[in-house]
Amino acid sequence: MPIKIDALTKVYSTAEIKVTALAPTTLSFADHSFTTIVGKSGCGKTTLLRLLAGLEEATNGTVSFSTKKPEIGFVFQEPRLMPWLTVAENIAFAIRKGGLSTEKLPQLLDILGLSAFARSYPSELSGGMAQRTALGRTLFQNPDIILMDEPFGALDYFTRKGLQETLLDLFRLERKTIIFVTHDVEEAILLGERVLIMQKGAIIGDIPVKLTYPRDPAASEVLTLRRQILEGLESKNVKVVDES
Amino acid sequence: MIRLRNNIILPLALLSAWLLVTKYELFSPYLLPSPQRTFTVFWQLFLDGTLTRHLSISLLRVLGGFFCSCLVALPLGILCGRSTRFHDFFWPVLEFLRHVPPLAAIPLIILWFGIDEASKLMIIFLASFFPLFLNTYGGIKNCDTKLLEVGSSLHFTAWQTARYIQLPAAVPSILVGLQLALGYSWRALIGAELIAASSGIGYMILDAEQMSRPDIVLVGIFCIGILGTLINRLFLKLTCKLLPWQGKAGDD
Ligand SMILES: Nc1ncnc2c1ncn2[C@@H]1O[C@H](COP(=O)(O)OP(=O)(O)OP(=O)(O)O)[C@@H](O)[C@H]1O
Ligand SMILES: [Mg+2]
Repeated sequence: MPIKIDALTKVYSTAEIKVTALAPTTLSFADHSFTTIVGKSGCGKTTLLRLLAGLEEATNGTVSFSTKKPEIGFVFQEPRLMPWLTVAENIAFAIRKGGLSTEKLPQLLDILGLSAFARSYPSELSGGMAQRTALGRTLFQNPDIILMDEPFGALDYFTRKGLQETLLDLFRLERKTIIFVTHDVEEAILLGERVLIMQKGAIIGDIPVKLTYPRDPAASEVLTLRRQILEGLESKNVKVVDES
Repeated sequence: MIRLRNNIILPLALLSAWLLVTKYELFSPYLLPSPQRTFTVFWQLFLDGTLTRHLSISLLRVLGGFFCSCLVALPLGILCGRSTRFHDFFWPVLEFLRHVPPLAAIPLIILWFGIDEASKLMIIFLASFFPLFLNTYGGIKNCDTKLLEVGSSLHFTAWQTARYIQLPAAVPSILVGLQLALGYSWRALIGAELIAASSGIGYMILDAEQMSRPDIVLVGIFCIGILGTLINRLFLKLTCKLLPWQGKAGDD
């Protein structure tokens, strides 16, 4: 389902200062597309995702979907697991809404490499395991749109590679609409059909990546794109963001 | 092993001091009876059933009052934690009552409820209500917004959020409230029995005082202390089973 945002803006006002976390932005995300967003820390990536998910009230502008109420899944930057539930119960948390079954739970645990820890509590997990559990929770929910906020940030290289593949398989098989935030430029290129570059609350670049999956990080096209994006991220002449 | 030994040093030292002080009669035996004497009296009271009768009556009162308090404080705490409207409605009265120690209300309670069981239940209820209510309320109210957002992202209804996130998150705090309330009930009961009763361990102590029997008073004090400790132990044992995930840090 296409997602359209129109002049979407978010300003956080505290007693002393106003922070424009998202300058007026107009964009759309096609159905079944995989978009990645890269940007430095504090540039407003999380804010954009939260606005899309309806977790934050926009200061201005609108978000609209083609269907009335699409199911949106959110993978937060931190695991946010329920400490009183086991790994398996956390993954199956969406079952409390009704309309889902635990049928695919074993398979999901297997994909995420968590089968041996199904009955462990979050306090007994490593950071990466907790993050995988959180990812599993959203996959279990089986939403139409998946918003992911640096979900692989805390993972080692190999787990990360494995989960990137899992995510791509899922994307190709089930044709989800995925918006994936990362600060890793290479990851953004390997995963996205389109890379958005964000700086100081504004989208300053929108780069299509027309390469077939799976992509080779050493391929010359990937390296060229990488240079292009890094230059964009470092460029000084970006839209001035009002911080009055 | 080491902890056990550590545990036992101070009680043994106090007991020895007591033995020595009474052996050399530093105080008159009418003021401080010896440990042997106290134990003998304890055994007599136990054998003739007096002790068991008083203790079981007191215990029943505590459990009854505590139970009534749970019935009211738990739902009220949850409702006030969930809804500001409920909170605003009840808060002024609760805030007022919170600052009145139940002992200050005893004269009125006796006037209204007589000196029967109802007045004791009422005193225990008043004493245990606030620790339970405030801990339940706080537990629900202070639920981590990060966890609540997980509920919003899953499109949970208000009921689902309360049932599957807020309530479980509040369980540790509610258990602390229950534990405190149990302790408060026990103390308030003794207070109530000291003032108006014809049975119960508090009454036994008061009666002994009037008959100048410090040995019985001591037996009563020991029974209260030991029984309170045992109840608390039992409670902790039970709640440990309820919280298999506790005692370790959360996820973020
Ligand atoms: N609740 C809030 N109140 C006030 N300011 C906020 C709030 N949340 C975010 N901000 C501000 O908005 C800006 C963007 O924050 P955001 O969390 O979207 O950044 P980010 O791109 O996700 O960064 P990171 O990569 O470090 O996660 C920051 O300057 C931050 O200080
Ligand atoms: Mg962020």
